Amino acid sequence: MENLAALPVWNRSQSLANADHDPEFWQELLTIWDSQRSQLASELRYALDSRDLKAAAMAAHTLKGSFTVLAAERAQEVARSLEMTLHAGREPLAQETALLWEEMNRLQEELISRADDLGRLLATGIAEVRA
Amino acid sequence: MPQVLIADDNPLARRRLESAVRKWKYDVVLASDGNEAWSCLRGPEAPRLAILDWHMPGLSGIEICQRVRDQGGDRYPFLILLTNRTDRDSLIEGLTSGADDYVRQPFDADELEQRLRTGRRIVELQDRLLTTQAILQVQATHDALTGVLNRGEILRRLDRELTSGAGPLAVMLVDIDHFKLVNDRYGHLAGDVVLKRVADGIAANVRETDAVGRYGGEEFLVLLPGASGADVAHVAERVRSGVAQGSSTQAGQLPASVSIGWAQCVVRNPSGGAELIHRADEALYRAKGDGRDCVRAAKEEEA
Repeated sequence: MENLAALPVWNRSQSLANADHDPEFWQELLTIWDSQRSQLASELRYALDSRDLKAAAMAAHTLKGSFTVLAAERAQEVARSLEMTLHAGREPLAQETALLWEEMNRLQEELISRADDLGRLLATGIAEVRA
Repeated sequence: MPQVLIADDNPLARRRLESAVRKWKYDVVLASDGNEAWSCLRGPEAPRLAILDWHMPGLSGIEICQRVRDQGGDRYPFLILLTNRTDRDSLIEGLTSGADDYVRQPFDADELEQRLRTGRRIVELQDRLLTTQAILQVQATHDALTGVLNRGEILRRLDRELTSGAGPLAVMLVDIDHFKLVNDRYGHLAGDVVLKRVADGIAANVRETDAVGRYGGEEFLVLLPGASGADVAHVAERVRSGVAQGSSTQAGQLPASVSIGWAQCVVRNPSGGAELIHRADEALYRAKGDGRDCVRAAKEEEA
């Protein structure tokens, strides 16, 4: 796994670039994430509890895809590492999965703490976003 | 507007792709897992461009590529695999499965747009080839003047019927009466109008399952698979009366009548085509001898 401490929890500018620098579309993507994150986490938890490594790998893969779009680089790296472990047919260690939940929480806190920032961007439009 | 299938189980990734692809003026069809994507690509009106995530529940992107290629068919779909795998072996595995292109996640929008455009050029080129092929196929098998099958094709169909069909088979020879007089008196253009009119009259009065071809100058051959003797006699009489309505030409209304001879085989013999036509021809000869504008059946085939 890459050095997590060197990665940002959330790469805001990359996240906006992934939304084609469109603040409204950016907000839409964040809303989709907000509505899907609990379910995706539950799917992974359930697969791990059932020791269904294939389903767990798929769930980790899906989470990684979401983190990629959001540019949540730390969570993305943790999910990638977890997916590789599962694809290799190994059960992950408890601390590996705990790390993922931790990074998801950290991402959530980051997004909440930037909520005002997001609102301002939506109000002022693309020019300021790019500034 | 060309249609693009986007198959990705991740709602965020799928929405991001959808937004980009719509911006590039494509219609979008969405699938949220591999099975949904495969059922979408199986239909006759399936999208010709597809962006497939490698890892999906149900079927993976590469499994879908393999199935699409195994399925074959004329309408070639251009398949782009989307993945965050970056190693050479994965690239080769993806392309070997039947993908046409390979894009790494997170995708670069400008790059994906151009790759999609490449795919669009290829499917449009293939569509033009298919259209040309269909036109050439019609030209190769149909008579240019009358629009019915040409001699080569109607004889091929007769052979096919005798080789692989089952049940009785009848052939009918339809000859335009006094056609030479039409040409001599009114010219070949008028003759062509009469030929076309008679061909239309035959085609309009046979059954849907019958095949009509131009056998010679003013002679048509009709195949009637599965028809009983009574059926053939009925169809032949309908054709005779149907074409005897006259033809409107520049020279005015020209009367046209036909003589018909038909023959039937109850048991199909793969090498019996010439014999069947010969018997119908003899019956036609009798129809001509009996004053034309009538139908005559061949004698029963010899056991």
